[in-house]
Amino acid sequence: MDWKMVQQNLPLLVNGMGMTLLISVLALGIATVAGFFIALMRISKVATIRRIAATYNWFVRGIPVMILLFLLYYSAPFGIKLSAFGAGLLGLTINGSAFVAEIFRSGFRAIDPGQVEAAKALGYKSWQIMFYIKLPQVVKITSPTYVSNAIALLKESAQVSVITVPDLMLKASNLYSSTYKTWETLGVAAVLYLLLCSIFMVIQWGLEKRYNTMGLTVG
Amino acid sequence: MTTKIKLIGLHKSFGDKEILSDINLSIATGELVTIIGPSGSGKSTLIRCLNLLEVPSSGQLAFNNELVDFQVNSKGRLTHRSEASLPKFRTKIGMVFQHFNLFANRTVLQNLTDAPKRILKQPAKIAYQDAQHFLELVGLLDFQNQYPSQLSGGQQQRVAIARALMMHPEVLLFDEPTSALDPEMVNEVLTVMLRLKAAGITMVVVTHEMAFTQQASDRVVFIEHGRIQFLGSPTQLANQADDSRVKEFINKLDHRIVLHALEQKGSNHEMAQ
Repeated sequence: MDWKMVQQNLPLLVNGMGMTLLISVLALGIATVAGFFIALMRISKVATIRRIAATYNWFVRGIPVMILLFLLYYSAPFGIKLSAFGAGLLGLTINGSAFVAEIFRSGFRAIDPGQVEAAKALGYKSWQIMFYIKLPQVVKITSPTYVSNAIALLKESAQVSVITVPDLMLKASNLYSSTYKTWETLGVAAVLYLLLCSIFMVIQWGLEKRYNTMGLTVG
Repeated sequence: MTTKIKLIGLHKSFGDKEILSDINLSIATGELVTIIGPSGSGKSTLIRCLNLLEVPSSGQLAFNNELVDFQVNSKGRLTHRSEASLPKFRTKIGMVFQHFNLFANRTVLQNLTDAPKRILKQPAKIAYQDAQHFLELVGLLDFQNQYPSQLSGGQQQRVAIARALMMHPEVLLFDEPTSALDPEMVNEVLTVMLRLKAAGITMVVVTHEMAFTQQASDRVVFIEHGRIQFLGSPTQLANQADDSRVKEFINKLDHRIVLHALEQKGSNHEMAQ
């Protein structure tokens, strides 16, 4: 192990790590909002809306992210030309939204319908039931799966390097190609990825601890 | 006595299956009406029509002698307009469910104060004082910071009753409030219900507790195959012929009859020996 080389490469890799974090957090944020609305479509009373959302999820979840990224970058429809960052963010967001939608849908399905009835009987309006009764419980029920999915998204974001987004993966593989030192380049990148993912894991740990003290079982 | 709530020519069907047909029932202010009947007879559907958790296929519902305005679309669901106008009506009718249906992620106190604060816009202080009053009434003052999962079934049901009372409803509906309880917890819930009757609250109770039905109700409704087969006071009920449908049903609830028959069989057996 050439520690001097590690030291030299570190600023470059940390810079790439910033890009990885930026694109992942942005994609996760947008995918969460989009996924929430897709989940609402999935449980809609209108069959057509349900089918549109189900088709979207089937399609997106069944396509490798990398193919999605290539398609968006090299031949986006309607003659749109996307930057590498734009295509990377869009690809990760589309992919993430379908998975987040399914996670939220499972949360909605797990809610005790009796509580919704009780709320109705007390005079809650539909939006109040969504906001006060369903959402807090969906967040609680889905938080472990949601965080797992967030970790997966962060790792999958390495694939945006193939369309030249200058993220941690791209920086590391460039360094590797010019030095052929695996551990000093890709190995260090792995540690940095682990560091990023650990942040999410700590958040998950904190959430579960909080819910457990509330006398609730998460799951 | 003034009529509090009234069902007029009510029908309800799910697809081709008719659950309730031609139900006419008016409940007076301060009255306690129990609804009894075999399972699948439509008694739960009937009580759920009173606060429109179940939407009648046809017929009308009057509250304080005013028709409740609700409209049904082609799929048998409430129209959006009706869905939006109903919550206000429902605040006046409390409901207690068989499975308690407390909000699992809220403490006992929050279960009580959430709805008055959010829906009636009650100041937090008033809601808190109300909650203390009703928790004392159901005997659970010491449990207000616990979560529902930490309470027994009987305790949870008493919280559910207190939660319904927090809205100061004009009618309280009970849909088999003791059916999901362990036998030793039934009395604690019935005691609270008797206290409410003494306070003069209008109550409609679906139940299998015959002792409660006979002693506490002003009138009894017996429903079978979606029709009201008997409607009258407990005394009139007791005077029904032994071969009437309602009497046959009540006898089925009395498990002593079976034991009595067993006993006789036993003694016959002994005599034969």
